[in-house]
Amino acid sequence: MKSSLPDSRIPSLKSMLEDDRFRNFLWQFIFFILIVFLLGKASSQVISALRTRGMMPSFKFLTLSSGIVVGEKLIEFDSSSSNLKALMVGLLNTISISLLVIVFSSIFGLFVAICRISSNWLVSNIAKAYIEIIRNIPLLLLLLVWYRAFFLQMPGIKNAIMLGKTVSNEGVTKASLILSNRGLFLAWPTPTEPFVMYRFILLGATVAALLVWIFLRVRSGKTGKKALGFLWATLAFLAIAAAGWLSMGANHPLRLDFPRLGKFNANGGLYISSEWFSLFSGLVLYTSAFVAEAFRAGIQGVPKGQMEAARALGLGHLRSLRLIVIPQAKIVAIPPLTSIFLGIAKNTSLGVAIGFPDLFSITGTIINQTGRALEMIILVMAIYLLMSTATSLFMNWYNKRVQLIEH
Amino acid sequence: MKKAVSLGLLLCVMIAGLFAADTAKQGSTLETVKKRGYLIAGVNSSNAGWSYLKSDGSYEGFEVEFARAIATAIFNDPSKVQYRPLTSKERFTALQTGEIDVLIRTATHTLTRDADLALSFTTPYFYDGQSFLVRKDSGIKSIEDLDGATIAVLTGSTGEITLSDIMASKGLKYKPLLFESLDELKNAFFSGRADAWTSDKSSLAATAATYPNASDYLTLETTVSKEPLAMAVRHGDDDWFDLVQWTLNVLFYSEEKNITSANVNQVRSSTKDPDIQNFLGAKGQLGSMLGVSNDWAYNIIKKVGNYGEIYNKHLGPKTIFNIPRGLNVQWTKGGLFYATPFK
Repeated sequence: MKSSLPDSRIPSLKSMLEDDRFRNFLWQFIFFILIVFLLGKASSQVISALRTRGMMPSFKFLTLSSGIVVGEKLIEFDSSSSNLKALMVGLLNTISISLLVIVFSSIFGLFVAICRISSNWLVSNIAKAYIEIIRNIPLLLLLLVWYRAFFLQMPGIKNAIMLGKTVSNEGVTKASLILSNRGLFLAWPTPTEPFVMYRFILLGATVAALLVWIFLRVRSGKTGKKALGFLWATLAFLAIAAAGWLSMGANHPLRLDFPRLGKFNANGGLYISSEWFSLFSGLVLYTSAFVAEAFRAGIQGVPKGQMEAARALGLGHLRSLRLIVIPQAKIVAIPPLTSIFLGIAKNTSLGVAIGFPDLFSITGTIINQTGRALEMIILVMAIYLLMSTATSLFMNWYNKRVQLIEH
Repeated sequence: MKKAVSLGLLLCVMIAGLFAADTAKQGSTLETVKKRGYLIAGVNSSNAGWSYLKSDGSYEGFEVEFARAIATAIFNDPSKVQYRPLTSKERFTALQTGEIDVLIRTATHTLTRDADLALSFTTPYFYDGQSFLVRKDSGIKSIEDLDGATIAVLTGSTGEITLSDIMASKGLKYKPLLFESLDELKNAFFSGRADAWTSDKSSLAATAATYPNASDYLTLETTVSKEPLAMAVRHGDDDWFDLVQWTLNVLFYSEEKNITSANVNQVRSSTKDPDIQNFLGAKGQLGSMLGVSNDWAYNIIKKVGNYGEIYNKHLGPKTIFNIPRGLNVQWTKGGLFYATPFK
């Protein structure tokens, strides 16, 4: 505003107070100042209190060697790695299990929801009983019961259940599957030396598959003919991958790694620990009940006429569900699903009760070793907040996308 | 659940922060305790023999007796204690924030805890050391046999870090299985999920003894760490520290001089030794120098007993634990306990 404005243009205080917009702004401004003041006062109090108690926050410990050994990790980590890296190990454990739980509980939840609204009395009531029982049990209890009563009751490693057991001349016991209270060991393909070469063949196969898929999509867009794009793309990928495998002759790029019985544990192959599996299956079981109800709300939110019209057109029950009802149900189900998915990452922190080294468990260990409780709790709260925000941003984006298609 | 607890702790810190100015003005811990009318002690709630919650809601155990002794020194009444059950992880924060007056929870005295956490530790009341509990039929005889084993350990203990240090120094590989609650750990270990469980020898002995098939298990001979268990208070209140330390000295000194709850009356009336007369408050002003009554030591011995009595009651040969005293005897018998003079 220029200072040369005539006086009459400057509104009087009285007239300003009568202006709705100004009044609203004034109230919000006063409230804002009050909040800032209170927060400032509280934090300065906290800081001065911490100083007198000799607990001044400092994050230097994060770069120091942690001295921690972690049982389950997705990245290289040993006790000389830093505390920050230990935190990363925990974070990756939390994220990986959360993502898997989201995927599996969505699939299983949808299945349960479909059973729940089925016209078959038995199927519908089994689904109902499942939902009602699981929803009314505290998750911690479910996990403890699952872990104690099921996984810990499996035979010990010496009497493990084994499939495809062979004993070599040196007395080494191998099997394709070893199940004990330690967890599950499975024969698993592991890359060998020639895999470095084979990677390029796989990359080429992926590109080829993508090209096939795009080509078929474009053609079907032009001709209106139904395209089996996904099927052909998969076939193209498999064909190239198989040809590559054969061309490499005896140098197989992947080798089946069989678990071998050691003195204490089995070694080799894929290892799924009892703790991981208890947490994973417990969470899937628990979350699916909620997911099922969200999906049921969505499905029943679709007007009955839609289903009837689809059936009248000659579509079967499942195809009507898949093509007509579920796409519309998704729109209703996504907002409640978002809250359920947000809960999953936080619920994994209960893994600490059954010995799974998730983010929260490792945080506890770091607090113990360094005594930096306040710093770690602030840090871990920020991490959970970031994870939740990321999930919710993604779900909001997906929600918008689905909504746009409808209109 | 644990998250809630930790968040609660954080809130406590913040609330404590808001009222920090007030608590600072309230003066010494001893005054606060006297005004409140009872002592608040941080303890374990599930360590058999040491400190555990009984079915009637009261606490019992070796460590609980120390809290009772401090309460007796102040109030001449061992029951004037409120016990706060704490996990290993929570215990130091609870002490720092002023939620408890004294921490008596198998806490090992280390430099980090002393300096970085701003705590003061008394002289140890028990010299412990870490070892391993294994199944007898596993054939494990030494630490070297544990190469590749799964080892259960309580998170939040010094045992956790000692384990990784000792295994690294010997170049042995292992899989840790971390639990926050002792109950879950015991469940997993006794069902065979882990090959060994590492903790302080005393705790291993205590827990194995309560297990029905106790004879199937054995504690390895080797001791891999020094674990001097001591009581802790906050930095910055030396008067309070003195009282806690000298209460412990009373328990040591009375055992050294063979003064028990049974004979303390007789000793006080008949002794000619001026040191003992001073000690038991028959004359002198020792108690009032600490801010308590002059017959505080007499009261402690009369109502709680001397160190040996406490030990035998909870951990001694007549209990199921039967932990040998080892280094935990008076210096006159070749042990490490040495009460400084009551003069």
